[in-house]
This record gives sequence, structure tokens and C-alpha cells, in this order.
Amino acid sequence: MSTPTGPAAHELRGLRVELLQALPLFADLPSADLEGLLDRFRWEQVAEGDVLMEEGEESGDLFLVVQGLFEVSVEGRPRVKLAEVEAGELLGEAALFRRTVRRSARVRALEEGELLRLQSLPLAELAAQGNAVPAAIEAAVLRTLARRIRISNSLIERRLQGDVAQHHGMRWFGLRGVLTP
Amino acid sequence: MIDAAKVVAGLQQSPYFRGIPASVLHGIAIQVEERRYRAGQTIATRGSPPGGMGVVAQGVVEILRPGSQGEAVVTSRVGPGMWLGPVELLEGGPGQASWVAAERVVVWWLPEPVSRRLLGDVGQAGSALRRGLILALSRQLLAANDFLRRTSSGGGS
Repeated sequence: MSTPTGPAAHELRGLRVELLQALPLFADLPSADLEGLLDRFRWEQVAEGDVLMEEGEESGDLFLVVQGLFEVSVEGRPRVKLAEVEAGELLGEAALFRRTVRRSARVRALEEGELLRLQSLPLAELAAQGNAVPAAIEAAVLRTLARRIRISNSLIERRLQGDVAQHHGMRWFGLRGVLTP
Repeated sequence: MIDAAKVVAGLQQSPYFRGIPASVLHGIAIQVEERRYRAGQTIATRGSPPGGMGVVAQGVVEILRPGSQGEAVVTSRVGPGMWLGPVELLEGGPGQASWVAAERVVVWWLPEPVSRRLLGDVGQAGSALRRGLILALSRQLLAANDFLRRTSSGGGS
């Protein structure tokens, strides 16, 4: 796809700022802060079925979902679906701290979508400049993690009371530190 | 009155605050309440909101959930430097587990209004808290997903 230039590029940029402002996590932020985000990071489009990240691969990127719906799953027979991620949520948030991380799950687009591909160092530089976007992203990451942990803990509880209990005679193997409050 | 210097020194030992300057942690430490529990004492009950979050300063807290027969089963243990309660605070609603002191326990507690104010702070203390919690919750989620993968029907490839 060709990149628009001139007035078309200006119009596209305005549209993207509007899309970002429509996300609850950025609702109270000034346009200038969001434009700072667009200046530094790449905007990407994905098609239905595209795999954004694969379990076990190494990467240093995290993604802000601007539009679309994504499925998070881990290996298993059948695969274990952990969550659906929608606009305003982050994917690959562990990369907020490290240059590269091992992906803990597969993420696949359930429909067409648009994302911002982010990296930790430029985000830290934005924060140091007084841009409020990094704080909003950190808060969003926390909410996302909390929601996923609650879902995973519920799945684990059900599994412990069901198939795991039957298959493993209620041995609480490997559970230390897994189910935390 | 809380000894902020002691709390700062303790927080710096936590893997989730390592490398954060004392001057930044001071902004969190002065808002902490020190809560003490004797062995066997319940800190929070499953089904009730804990009303904040805290860092274990001393001792071990057992996390209990109902087993297949409804009995209380210890599913994990939380020791010094680890967080209690952020998921409940962030998600709202009742606690998913009960927390019981396995021995004499000290918790540096941030009541809910204080926690929320700090989490919304755009300054360095707020950022240190958010990033420390992200690290803690990321590890917790990774461990949970590993467990789900290992215990899925038929196992992984």
C-alpha cells in the first residue's frame, strides 16, 4: 500500500488522532500528546486471520489496538483461548520493560484491525518530555493484565476442581506462585 | 507514624522496585499503613473486597481457595517484597481468594483511595508504582499461562 503525501497525509493523520482520542485510555489527553505518539511509532493494519505474535518467539514490540478484535491463546489440545482483546487494549505488554521478551501466548486477528507498534525506549523518552501518553498506556496495561489474570485464575480453579484433580490425584504440582490473589 | 526510610529500604529489596531511586519511593512510603498479623489470622476473605493493596514486608501469607470438596486449599504463598491485592483493586469486585498469615506477618498497606490516587499520578512515584505492578502481574500471568498449558488435555507438543 502506498503512503499518502501532502493533504492526504495530513487528513489521514487527523483521522488517526481522532481514532486515538476515541479510545477511553486517551480520552482526556491533548491532541499534541497523541500527535507525539504518531510521530514516533508505526501505524499498522492487519487482516482477519493474521498472527500478530506467536507463542515462544522473541520480540521487543508491544501493540496498542486501535481498531479490531484479537484472540489470545496458548498451546494445548485443543488450544486454550485466554481472552479477546479489543480497541484500547495493549498486546505484548511485557516488552514495556525489556528490549526483547519471549511471547507467552499467540495473538491472532479475528477481524480487520489497526494497531500502533510501540517500543519501550521511545515511550520512556516521551514520558521524560512530559507527554501524558506513557502514563495512560501503563494504566491500560495494568487493567489488561488484571483482567487476564482473573480469567486465567478462574480457568485454573475450574481445571483444578475438574480434570487436573482427576488426572493428577489433586497434586498441586507447580502451583506455587501461580494462583496469587 | 510510619518510618518512611525503613519502608523505602524494604521496597528497594523488592524485585518490583529494584533500581528506583529512594527519593521516588519516598513518595509511596509516606502513604503506607503498616499492618501486623499474627500466625493464623485472616487478612482478607474470599468474596469480600480487600479494600486496597499492599506489599508483604515480613512473613508469609497463604492464599486459600476452595478445593473440590469445598475445603480450603493453599494454592500459593506470598513472601516479602510481593504484592497482595492489585488484581482485586484494578478489577473491582470481590476477592478471588482468602489470605491468611502463615506466621507473623507485616504488610505495608495502601488503602484503596491512596492506591487509586497513586496509580493515577503522572509523576515519578506513580510511574514507579505502575511499572512495578506491571512487572509483578506480567510474571503472575506468565506463570498462570504456563500452568494452563502444562495441564491442558493431552499436554502440549
